[in-house]
Amino acid sequence: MPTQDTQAAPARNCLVLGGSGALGSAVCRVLAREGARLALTYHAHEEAATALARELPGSLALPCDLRDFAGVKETVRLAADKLGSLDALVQAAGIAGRDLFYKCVAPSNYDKLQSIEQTDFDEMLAVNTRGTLAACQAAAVSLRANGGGNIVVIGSVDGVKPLPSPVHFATSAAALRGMVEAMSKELGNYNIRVNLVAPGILDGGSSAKLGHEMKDAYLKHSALRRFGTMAEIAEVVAWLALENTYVTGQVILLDGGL
Amino acid sequence: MAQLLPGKRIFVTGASRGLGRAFCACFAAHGADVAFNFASDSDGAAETMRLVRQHGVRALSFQVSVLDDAGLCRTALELENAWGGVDILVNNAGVSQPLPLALMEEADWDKVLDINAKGQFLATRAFIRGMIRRRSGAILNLGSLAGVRLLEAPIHYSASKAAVKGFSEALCKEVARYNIRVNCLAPGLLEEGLAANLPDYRLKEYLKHVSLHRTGTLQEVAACAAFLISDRNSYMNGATIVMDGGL
Repeated sequence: MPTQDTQAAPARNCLVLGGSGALGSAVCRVLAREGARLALTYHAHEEAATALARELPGSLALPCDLRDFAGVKETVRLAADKLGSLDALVQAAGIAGRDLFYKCVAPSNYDKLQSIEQTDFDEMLAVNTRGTLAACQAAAVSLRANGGGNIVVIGSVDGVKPLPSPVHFATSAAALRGMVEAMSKELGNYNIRVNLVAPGILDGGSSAKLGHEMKDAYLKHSALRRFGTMAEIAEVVAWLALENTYVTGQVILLDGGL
Repeated sequence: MAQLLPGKRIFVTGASRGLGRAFCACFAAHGADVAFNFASDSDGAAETMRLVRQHGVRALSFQVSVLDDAGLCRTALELENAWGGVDILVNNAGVSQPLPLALMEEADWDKVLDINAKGQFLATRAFIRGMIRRRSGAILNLGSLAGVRLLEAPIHYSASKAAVKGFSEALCKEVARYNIRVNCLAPGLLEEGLAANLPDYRLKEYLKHVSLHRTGTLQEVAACAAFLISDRNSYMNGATIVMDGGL
């Protein structure tokens, strides 16, 4: 139920991995608007992260390399420690792969399968999938100690609906579904809800890599005939992180009706 | 959180009790004017009205069945005149019968399919005209876990709720051009409703496999619905949100 005064409710402590990114920073802003205290992580964009942390009262920025399994867990532990407790984890960090995978002749002819090197595959899975597991493992400890909470993983419509997509990217995204479903079963015992948000093409962020053939096809087939905005995705992510108490193990599609 | 639905005019079908009533009260708390229909339970409807009015918003109730096409159209027209129209439709009215196939008559199948599926079609057709004219709207159709997963549930109920999912998906494609979003909310077992029909041992078995090991409350479903129909949820379209505590 809505309250007249958001200040009356105790602040929720949230960790946003990839908070320095286009989508991650939008999530941070909505969470802060809703009264949350934030820890946000960055990998390459330290300046953006520290600027955002300055902008949002009571928040802090921490470095995090998703490739480093133990390092990710340590960062999550550190964040929970500095915040005092953890109410929600948002996983908004990930990679899309080399640019060559996004240069297409036609939207239905991706034809890039043969270009995938073992290193492309390994890195994609290590960052997007294994890194997510490490973060959730560590966050679950703090959330459990707190009596429950929400984990929101941001994936992609790729890997949920059949789309022409770099195969290794779609694989890394699809794996998140199984992870979230299985995790929800285990963590439900501790009142932790786990969900996957699957956005379609957005008006910035990693969607910028996409060629115009892909974007034109999407605009034709997504019922709303437009890309999603960072803010629109962030609103759903924030609701799942702060307000959700019963949705768990779900894939929440935000693709305008593709 | 701040109010999600200030100034919105919302029509909820089947709100004389249960989830429909919880929707009305919650939407009113979020600042919306709320109108609803009911088939026969006037006392229940009066109580829903009281709960809505508590929040200082406008409230109207209509005794009209979701199978009464002329009645629904008249209701929609009355709301155009009284409130300038309806921004959001929540297709909630639905029934079930705990019948196995062997005991199910044709009339039983027709009743459940008509109210649960055709009722959503008729209500949508009546209220969407105004949304199309205004080039703006949101529709939330109540499905069920029984319509998306393999569950032991009455076959006509499951069929009707699977129909709601398909209806929502096709409808979203057709009306998005008018800036109208359509989504489906599919709850699992809740504290009230179908769970009441289940013998204790069946409910216990179900809850063993639900990650959160409890039924959902009407409040939780209403709070989720309030977000789903709000302007903050402007890019979700043609989605089915399952709310089952993790079965």
